[in-house]
Amino acid sequence: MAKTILAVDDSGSLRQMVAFSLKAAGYDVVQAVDGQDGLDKAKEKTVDLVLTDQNMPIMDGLTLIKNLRGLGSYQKVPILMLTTESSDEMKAKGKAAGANGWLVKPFDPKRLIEVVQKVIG
Amino acid sequence: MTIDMSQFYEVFFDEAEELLAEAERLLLGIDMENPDAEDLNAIFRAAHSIKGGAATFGFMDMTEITHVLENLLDKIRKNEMKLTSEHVDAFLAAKDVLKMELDGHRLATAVDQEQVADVKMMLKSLSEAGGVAIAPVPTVSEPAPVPVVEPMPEKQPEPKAAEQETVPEVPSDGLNRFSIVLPEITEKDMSNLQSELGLLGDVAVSKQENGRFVFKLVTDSSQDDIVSICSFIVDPDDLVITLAKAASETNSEPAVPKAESGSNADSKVKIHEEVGYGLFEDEGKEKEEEGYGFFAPFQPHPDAVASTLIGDDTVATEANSGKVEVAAEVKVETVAAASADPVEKKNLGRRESDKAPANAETSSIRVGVEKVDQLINLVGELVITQAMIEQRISNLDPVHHELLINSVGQLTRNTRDLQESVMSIRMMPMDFVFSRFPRMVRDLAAKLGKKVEFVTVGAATELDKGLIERIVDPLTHLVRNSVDHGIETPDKRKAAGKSETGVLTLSATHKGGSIVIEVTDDGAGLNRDKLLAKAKANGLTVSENMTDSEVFSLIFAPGFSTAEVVTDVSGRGVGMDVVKRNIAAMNGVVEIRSALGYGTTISISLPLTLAILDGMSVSLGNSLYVVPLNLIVETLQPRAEDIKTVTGEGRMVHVRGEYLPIIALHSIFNQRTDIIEPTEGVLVLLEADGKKSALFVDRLVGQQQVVIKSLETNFKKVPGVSGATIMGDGSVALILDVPALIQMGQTPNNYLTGAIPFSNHNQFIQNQAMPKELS
Repeated sequence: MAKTILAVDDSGSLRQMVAFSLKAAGYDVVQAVDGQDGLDKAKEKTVDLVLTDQNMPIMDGLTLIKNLRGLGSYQKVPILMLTTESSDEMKAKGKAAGANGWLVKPFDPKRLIEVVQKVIG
Repeated sequence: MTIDMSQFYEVFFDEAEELLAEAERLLLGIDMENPDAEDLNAIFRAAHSIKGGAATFGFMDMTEITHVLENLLDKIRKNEMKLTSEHVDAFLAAKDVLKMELDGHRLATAVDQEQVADVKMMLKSLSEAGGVAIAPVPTVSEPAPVPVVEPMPEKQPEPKAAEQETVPEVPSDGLNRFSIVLPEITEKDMSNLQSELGLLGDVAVSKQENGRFVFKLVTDSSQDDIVSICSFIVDPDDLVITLAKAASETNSEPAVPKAESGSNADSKVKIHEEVGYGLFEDEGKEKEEEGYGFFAPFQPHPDAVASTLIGDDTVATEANSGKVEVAAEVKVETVAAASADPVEKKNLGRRESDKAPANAETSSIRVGVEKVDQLINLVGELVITQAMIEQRISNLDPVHHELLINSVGQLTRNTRDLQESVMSIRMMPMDFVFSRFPRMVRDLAAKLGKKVEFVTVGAATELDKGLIERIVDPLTHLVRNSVDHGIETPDKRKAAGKSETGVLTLSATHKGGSIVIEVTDDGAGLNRDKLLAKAKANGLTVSENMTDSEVFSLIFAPGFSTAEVVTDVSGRGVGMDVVKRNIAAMNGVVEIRSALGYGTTISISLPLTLAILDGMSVSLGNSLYVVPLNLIVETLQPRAEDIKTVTGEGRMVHVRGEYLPIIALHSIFNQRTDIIEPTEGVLVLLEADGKKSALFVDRLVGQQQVVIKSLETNFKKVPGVSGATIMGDGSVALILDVPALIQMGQTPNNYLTGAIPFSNHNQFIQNQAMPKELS
């Protein structure tokens, strides 16, 4: 069965691009428009990988990650941050929140798929 | 696999445009003294999102501006810089430039590079002016030029500080390579300075063993420029700036310090970023390559799902602390939402609608307007057919055909619901129009030295898309007029005992089957005497007995302006007549209410949609005509003694103390009828544009909703007729253009010029428009 990826980003164009690329690579994609939406969608169905933006209205990415890690079903699901901020500080925060890695924006769909494949095959 | 990025452009354009509009709206509403943190965040996010999208899709010009914008906004939202009106002006200018660049990409329109450069300069100087402020920790300073290209490495491997000092660089490309040794400063100052210097060229920073920071700057700027930038933060005398000469053995890799944030320092994470991603691995060994990274102790696939964090204890604490924080944050958000801020509402609204279909990818689909119009057209036909069936079964015996009659009743209801739903597709919120005004009012008020508070009411009120587009120009004119002529200058207002700030309100409400849009100002109001005098001077026929509304309507006469000073904003006397004409063309009515010294309200009443009309059908000979119901005051059968003939004015009817001109429809349309005396027929009293007339027809037939068909597109424009419709029995009826008829009635001979043999047209239209199978 195809693996499901939750893509959380408030920017519709980026979300679509991510979803399109991942689908083209054979994954199922669930989209969410902000952290809260992401959390809701994550609860609806436990996904195999979470990709989240950091800067979003309503709930930001770090909060989402912390929240997900607080859920029993998401203790071990890999979570990657998609972020324009690649500062060490941001990485440290991401790591502390429970992210497994990051991918710097802007990225090329090919790289995205490559990274995703590294993580969940 | 190749993925064509251009397929996402349109979405990005729409999104960016929306974000820009939103940012502008927020900027205009911002309270300079005490800016709302959530507003600032939202503006920042808008810039941030546009930057991200622009970078991803390769619109580098937009990335550049949003990057500077974002940095500046970041400082402001973190309270590291105070928001000033210059900032807001610069942000608005940046918005304009971004919009221009956006249109440049989207519509291939011209981009004024000079303006772009101006705005860049403006933003840059603002960032520099705020020298004491703290820059965000070095972020992506220059995004990759094209998305398909490998992202540019932002941070280079970190050579040892000792090496750094001995790494001189060689100027080979006209660029100077400076080494700047700073006096002891805080890390915040350092990172701020780094981002300032980043505006000059590529900058990298390292830390000497004595704790001093060293910048390596590759730039085409001179040493003086560097000194002047640094002098905002450090004493220039303490700087040691050297121009590197010798070649670098290590190929001049600039260095970046590891951020010394606590959590990072103890995390044993070894960073050697090259390419912008990373996965945290076991034992703190982080792997970073190609723009991503994994945090330790994360095992990439296939063991991916095995372990997450170092110890289970850590997991628990992380999770707990996370939970607490989340709870707090969620609360804050709720409060923000509850504060009824329209932005929040809008965001929430959008989210809700996005969420509505669970797991659906998008909540809306894009459909061409033609398709929707086609749908509306078909439903219109369906309504006609349905009316026809209804009429035909009305002759059937209700006992014998009870079931059929019941079913048709059901069909009628379903048709009506369907029609309403389909019409609602074309409905758009008035906000679409209203949103463009705050900026305009702000700019105008500034230009005229006035203080204006702009208020909108009912922005969510919906109106047909076609009308929305056509109302923009008239409204723009009215708003401009209100700011220019309505609202007085602050000193005049003060002298009149009003507050210095004038209030301009733009409102939209539903009233029955129409929407009422009002432009209200609390300005000087219209001066009746001045209007009358001006009208006389312009050679218009006026009298002292005219009602206020008639007098106020004079401003709609062509070439009429009472403004003493013609400004370059408005007041040249062109426009109000155009406004009136435009609104009349939408079957709308304009009304003015004003009180001298207290203000003016201009009220526009429009039908909700152009496609359907509530009408009264009247008969004339063997033809049917439809009169828009909203223009009918009353109908009556006159007595012979009420009909008077006035020399030069034709026949008049005396109704409750008023003499109204009688417009005989049969003579205007040159149609044969047996009823030629008003006493034998019916007079329909009409009111439009503040003028009343009595329309003389044979009989009233009935009241009904009709689907408007354009006569112009199927045939040609006919004076006195605004459109046509197909009646329940399949016959064609013409819809009367009441304002035009009243005009014709007042100048009895005018309708003959342009002489149209009407009966022929009628015949033609019937042949053209009436489907054969219907007759």
